[in-house]
Amino acid sequence: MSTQSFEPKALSPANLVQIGSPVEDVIQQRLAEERARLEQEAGIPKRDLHHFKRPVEKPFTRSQRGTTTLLFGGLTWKHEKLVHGALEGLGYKARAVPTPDVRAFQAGKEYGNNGQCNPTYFTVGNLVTYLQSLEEQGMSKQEIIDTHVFFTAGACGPCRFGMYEAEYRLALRNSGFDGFRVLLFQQSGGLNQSDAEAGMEMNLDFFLGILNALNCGDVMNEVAYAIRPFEVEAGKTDQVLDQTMDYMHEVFVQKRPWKLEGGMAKYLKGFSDTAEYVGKFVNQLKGDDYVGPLEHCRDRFNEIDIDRLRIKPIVKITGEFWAQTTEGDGNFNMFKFLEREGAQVLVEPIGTWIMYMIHQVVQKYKDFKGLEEGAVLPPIWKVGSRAKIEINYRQKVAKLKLAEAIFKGEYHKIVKALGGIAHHLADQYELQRLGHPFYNSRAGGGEGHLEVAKNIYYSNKDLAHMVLSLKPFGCMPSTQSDGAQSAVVSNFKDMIYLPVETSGEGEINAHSRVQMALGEAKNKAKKEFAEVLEKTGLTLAECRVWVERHPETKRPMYHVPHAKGYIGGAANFVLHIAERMKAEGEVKPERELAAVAN
Amino acid sequence: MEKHFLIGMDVGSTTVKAVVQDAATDEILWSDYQRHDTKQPEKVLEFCKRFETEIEGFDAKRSRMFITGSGGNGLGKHLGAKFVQEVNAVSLAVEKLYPECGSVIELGGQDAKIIIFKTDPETGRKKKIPSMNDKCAGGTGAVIDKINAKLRIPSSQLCEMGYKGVKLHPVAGKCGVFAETDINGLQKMGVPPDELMASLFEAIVMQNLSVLTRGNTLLPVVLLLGGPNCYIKGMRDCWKSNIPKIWEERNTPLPEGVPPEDLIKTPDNAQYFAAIGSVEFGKTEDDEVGQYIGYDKLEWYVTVGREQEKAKKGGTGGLAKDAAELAAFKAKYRTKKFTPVTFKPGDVVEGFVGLDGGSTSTKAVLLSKDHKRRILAKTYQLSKGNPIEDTIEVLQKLDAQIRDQGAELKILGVGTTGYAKDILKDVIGADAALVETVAHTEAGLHFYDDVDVICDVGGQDIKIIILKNGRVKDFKLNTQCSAGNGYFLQSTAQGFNVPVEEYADTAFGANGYPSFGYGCAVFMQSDIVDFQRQGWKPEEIMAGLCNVLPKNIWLYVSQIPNLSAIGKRFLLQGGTQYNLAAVKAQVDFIESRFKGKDVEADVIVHEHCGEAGAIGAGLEAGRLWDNGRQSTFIGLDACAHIQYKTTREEATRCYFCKNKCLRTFIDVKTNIINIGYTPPKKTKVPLEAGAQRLIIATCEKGTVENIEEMRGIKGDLDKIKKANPNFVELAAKAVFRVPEVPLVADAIPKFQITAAQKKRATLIKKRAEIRIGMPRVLNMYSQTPVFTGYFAALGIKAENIVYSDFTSEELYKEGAKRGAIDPCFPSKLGIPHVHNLLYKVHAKKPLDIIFFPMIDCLTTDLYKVQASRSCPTVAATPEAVKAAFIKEGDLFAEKGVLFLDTFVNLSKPDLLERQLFEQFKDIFGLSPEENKKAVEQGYRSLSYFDNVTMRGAAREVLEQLERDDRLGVVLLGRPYHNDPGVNHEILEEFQKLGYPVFAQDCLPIDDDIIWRLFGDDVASGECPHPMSIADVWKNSYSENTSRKVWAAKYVARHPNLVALELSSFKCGHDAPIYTVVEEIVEHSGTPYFCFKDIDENKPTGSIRIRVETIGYFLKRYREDMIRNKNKVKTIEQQLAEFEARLRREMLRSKADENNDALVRQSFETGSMPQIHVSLGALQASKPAAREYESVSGD
Repeated sequence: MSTQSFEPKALSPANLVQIGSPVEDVIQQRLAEERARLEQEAGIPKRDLHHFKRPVEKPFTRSQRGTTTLLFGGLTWKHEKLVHGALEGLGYKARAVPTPDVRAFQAGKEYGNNGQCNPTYFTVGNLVTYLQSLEEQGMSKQEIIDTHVFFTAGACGPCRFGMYEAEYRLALRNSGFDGFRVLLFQQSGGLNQSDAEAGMEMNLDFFLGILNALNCGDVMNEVAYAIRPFEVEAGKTDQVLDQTMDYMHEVFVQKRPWKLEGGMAKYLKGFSDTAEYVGKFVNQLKGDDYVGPLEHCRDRFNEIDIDRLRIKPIVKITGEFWAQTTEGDGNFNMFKFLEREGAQVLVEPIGTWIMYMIHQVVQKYKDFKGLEEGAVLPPIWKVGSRAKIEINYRQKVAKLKLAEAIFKGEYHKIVKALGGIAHHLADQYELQRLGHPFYNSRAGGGEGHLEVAKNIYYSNKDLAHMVLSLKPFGCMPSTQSDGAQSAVVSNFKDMIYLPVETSGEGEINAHSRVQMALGEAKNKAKKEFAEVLEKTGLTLAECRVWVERHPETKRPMYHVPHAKGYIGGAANFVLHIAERMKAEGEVKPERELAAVAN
Repeated sequence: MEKHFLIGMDVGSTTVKAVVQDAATDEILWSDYQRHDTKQPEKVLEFCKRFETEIEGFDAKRSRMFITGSGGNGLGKHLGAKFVQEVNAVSLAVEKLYPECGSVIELGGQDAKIIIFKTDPETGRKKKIPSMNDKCAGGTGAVIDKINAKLRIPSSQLCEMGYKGVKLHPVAGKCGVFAETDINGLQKMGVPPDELMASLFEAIVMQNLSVLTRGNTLLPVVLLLGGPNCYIKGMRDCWKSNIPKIWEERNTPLPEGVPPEDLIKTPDNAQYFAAIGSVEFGKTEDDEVGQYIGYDKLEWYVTVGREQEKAKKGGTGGLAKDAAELAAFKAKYRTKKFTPVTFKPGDVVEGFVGLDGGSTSTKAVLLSKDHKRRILAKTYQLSKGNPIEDTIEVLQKLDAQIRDQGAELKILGVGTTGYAKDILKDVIGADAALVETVAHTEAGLHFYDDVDVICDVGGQDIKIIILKNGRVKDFKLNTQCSAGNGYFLQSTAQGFNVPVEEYADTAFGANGYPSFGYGCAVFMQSDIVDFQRQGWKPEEIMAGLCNVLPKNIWLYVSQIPNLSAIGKRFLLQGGTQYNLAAVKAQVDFIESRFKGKDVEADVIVHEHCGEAGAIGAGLEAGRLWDNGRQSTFIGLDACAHIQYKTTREEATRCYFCKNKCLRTFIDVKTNIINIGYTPPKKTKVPLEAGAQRLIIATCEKGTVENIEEMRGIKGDLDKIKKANPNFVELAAKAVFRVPEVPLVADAIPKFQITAAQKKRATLIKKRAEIRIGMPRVLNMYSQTPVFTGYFAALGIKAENIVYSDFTSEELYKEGAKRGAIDPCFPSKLGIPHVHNLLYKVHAKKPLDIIFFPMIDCLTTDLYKVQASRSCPTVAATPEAVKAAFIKEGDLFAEKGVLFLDTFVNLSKPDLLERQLFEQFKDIFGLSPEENKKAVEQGYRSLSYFDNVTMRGAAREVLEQLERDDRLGVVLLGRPYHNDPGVNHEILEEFQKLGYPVFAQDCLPIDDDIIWRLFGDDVASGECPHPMSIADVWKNSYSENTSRKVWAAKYVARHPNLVALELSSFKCGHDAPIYTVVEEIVEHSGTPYFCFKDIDENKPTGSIRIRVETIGYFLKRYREDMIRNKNKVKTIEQQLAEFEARLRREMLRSKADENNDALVRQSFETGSMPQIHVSLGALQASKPAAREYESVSGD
């Protein structure tokens, strides 16, 4: 028997069985009064029992678009700048929140649940501190809530990333911004908002705009990291990067989505929507809206003088998505630290992640093949049903493969326009082959098998001297894949792999470990360079003289082929010098050499 | 040619070491090693001046400097030096000087490092695996320093202290301050210093071996570096004794002919390793790096710059903004001076005594008999080492206060609290032993209304008690770390020769203070050294310590950064609150956390902050007296004559279970002999005639000495347990029982013509012999019946389906050393369980297969959830486990066992069928048809387990609870919290208290129950279905998370259930729902308690306090429940009478009004027309049958 007052909710009239009269009403009223009196007399705590319900979420509607600023963040400033441009080009007011710092982390800890992973603390706290800064500038809380929305990626598990949204709301509530709108952009596509008049239109223009911005951001970022360690004049690369990013931002702001011309639309009538859809696609594939501007950027980068003979160990960055992307306290400013310690950083493009998402769907189709048709294990003689299953499966996969091909093509178009020095996207099928024996490629969450696979891929293909995996404290999938890495490292002999757990604290320890592993990578790079000198019979001084004679090789966009078995830029460059000397019939420049020696 | 120089400088926490080498020849031209006595920059400057003059031909321009050590980074910039990370430096020096070295263990002043060098057999390259301590000084030299400062052993003697052959005692190596607590206790028991030190060495070594090696094996040759290793013989011996044991256990190949101890060495020039290593690092850098610029800049820093820097950093002012603010603060917070009540000669003073037997002091209060329970007198006694002795003294002091006035004290009741509460209760016959948290709460609530949070900071302990409606909702204790307690302030003041009473005024005198990083107290101690180096004065440092204290309390120990979320009225208690400087910092900190919020903090200091615990205990004695309890107190006179003897040695060890705990026997003699007392029949420790023995043991069974008595106790316990089933325990066992299912296996083919047919026939025959081992871990606690049903249906014999043992400390320790990562504890158990299967189960009778499936998604009973995925940590655990057993050679292959970590999706039967077929077709010789049938049997087995075995039985108990108005505890946790090793048998404690315990998966879901509970929500449209969580939680893709949320809803709606949440440290799927679960349960006024961040350490003390606290409040809750229920019953009766009267009156008046003969007649004859009203009746119609299918999965 319950002692909780079980107060019935008002039922709809149809469910009510009521026979009443004015007399009865009076009786009921008197009874209620008497009950209240007796209860008070007896000292029974009167409780309005109302069970917990999650708060109602306020929508972002189309009519609010003009007065509402879309806030977003979580990437590098380069990506964010271009996404910002793309959103403005699409007609939105947008702003990227600053790169999260330790203050944001602490705010995240203060306003969120205990025991979160690091990216949650950093990003959630970052939004709160940003809103607080708006408040400090004089805006009222209500004004901020009414005129801003936060737009972030979401997921449907399995790691807690999919629950971030609730964490944002909790932190916002705890910090006094209750009711602030958080919009989720599901990774699987589409905005999680059923409102017909949604403030954000998740149409093809939107997707193309964002994807182009991310891809351009990826490649611009990689190019800068590839040039900076070799720049002759310190700071030059960053200077050019700043200018070119401003320029590209403007390109994105000015870009208007492709539209079917008015006359043509009229002519096509009912088919105009389809035609416009197809047109947008074709325009994306065939068009060169970004190629020209990117080539302009390429030329600007190419003005930087570089010294290719600096021996720099290449450190490939992998790990958890956010920790490997952010350029701040979230990963102990690791990229800057690595460059300061003499490394060349090979950053991870967001493009790989997008390709992974597509690839996982292909795998899923494969696993589920035939199950929809009710055929778990169809007997061999049922040719008809087997064929049907096969066709259905192949059709689905073909669509995704097309998507994969298009995405890759678009990415590589940008790589080419920016001088071809950035890496192409790693092949997902190869990554799966490499990673699966150690970490099941079906296991979802975080980077799944990618961390293991990338470690093997970059080490085996002579693309990096060392792989540094940046993973946040408390990352669920990444911790487990690190467990698997212990077997990977034993299996691949000459691998330098270092996982670093990033948290808001403990920077010195992290830097210590990186410096130590980097020491090994440096030795590896030096040894390889010495080997190349020995193999080619050249000396460093001779190479320098040759470079002076061939100033075109000081240009960052000058292409140096990658020789098998050699990782570092300097080693490959010396091999290239030797090749060219041989091809061009040059002899060792004795006289100049003597001059250098003196 | 002119010489070039490479300078290596190591600036440590206590010493500076430097070497200057000839860059061309590596020859060491100059070196020195000196203590800096907190004057790091001065010593470095002195070194620079010396080597510049002492080395012939030295030229700064031709010199490069590489600096390392904790002080290196700050000073390097004044010298042009490049900073080198210390571990890196040490490893480089080792590689150069000891190429044969396999591992390095370096214990520094405040750090501990282990580097393992693994040589790649193919390339010869040495891979370094470094590991170091982080935020905690546990296991470092600082712990030795701290203990030695206490024991005052001269350093020359300390160096010679041994380890071999010395008796060892349990000491916590985890934290210096806890080690001190243990040492204190041992010291009071008369353990000699050499045994104390040897025990400490053991603790430190074990701490490092178990934590710092991170699953790797230390490879020979092991070099021991760092001060404690180099100078203390006992430390070296301790390593030499413990490391070879691990080598033997893991079959580590060792060079032949050398005793393993000799492979652990201490090099001669160890002190210079970091400095030499820095030079080695420098050699690999480009020529322009680390160009030495001479010492001018450093000299400027020492004389001018440092002061400027300090002024800049300390420019924030003192603890108070100005004198006016300070005066206002003091006026508000200064505790009123206590004036004891005066009595007339001849008065008989009746009252209740509260005793608080704390770790550092014992306090007593005398409360008045009247209901105000005023404090008549109070006293305290600094601990002399034994709580009984202290108690006798405080009682005498209390008595004296009354007697001195010519009055007489009559004690009506005594309550005890504090860590010695039970001993005291037994010895002096107190009426109640109240758990500390409750005592503090009662004391707080007695004096102050609407308190939300009580923060008690005592000598050793910090207690944060969070209240809701006068009930303890949650509390935090510093069980793992001692940072932030009052003892630290006290010892610092003593170090500066400032009396503790003058701490506050001294600290208020500072106009600025250094900023301490919050965290480990031992690190703060080294910060003090660092700040002294920077020129900070004692008062400034003391102010700085006060300033950091609240950060340690709220951010580090209790981890509640958002104070406004737990309430607004904060009550500060505990002896530390006498220090107003600490109070000021606390008040400022708490108030600052409310900045920008709609509410303001209200911080109060308890008027009797030092005696709050004793007051609470006294109040409880009073409450019992009010309820008619006759006191059992033996009387002051008897107390004065107490004689006792304490024994804690081998002879007191309990052998009633595998834990074999050491017990404390207290033999007490008073002039009153307890009538009911019977001395032990047989004992290893003789009991004096007339004495009564009290046994302090960790569990009930240990409280007696002979087995019959123990059996009696156990029998009583068993009765309680039987009456209050623990479904968590039952489920943990039942889930692994192999179900009886029909055999669906194909018969052996009649014709075996083709090779395939022959092969299949062999495999089918083999099924009867195949032995499969499964680990009892993770989601196996909920999904195993699917697999056992499947295997059994295919003809695997039930006796051949075996499991790893249940989790125990021993099982964990044996296997965990292989772990390379640090996920949540349930996941970490994967390796130990597979280790157990491989080395124990397999050794007994060989296994063919170890089956540890990667369960990607689970079955679900919930309505339309997004998916039913399992946590990625859990799902991927088998991969990390596999890696641990194949990384140093494939141990499965070596043992001839097949390890299967099959990837399975249990929410999708079709897919599972395919996955199991793919995995087992060639192992069992399966046909698709039998596989399909077996999978069906698997699901049926799970359904039977869930719905019949568990929910069916649970329903009966739940209904019984409803009938008897009793309470049951529901464990809100994950399936693997059913594991006794994971839940640390916390649930059993509740069972012993008389509460049945339900696992969330066994809560009955029969239609009548769930519609009774949730029908209202469904009817109002707030929730689509009783099995839905859409109304409270949106991101419903993690099945175990969703189940927890749903169970929280269930508990919130069921009047006879209360919630107990368990959550593992690092649980990524629990963290986002902490608030949601709490809010769901608490919104309904249902009690909610939690044990969060549980891990491999069983915090026995904390569990005990928690269980006692919860037990106390549950008892009160049930009393209220019954009282209210009776009241409701009475009211209903009164209302019925009232209604009848009312109706009669109204009808009569109506009849009079209308002169209605018919009505009057019917009224007179009693046939009154009935008026039926059905208002808001609960949905009467039977709910529709389930219309939903299983979920989308992912």
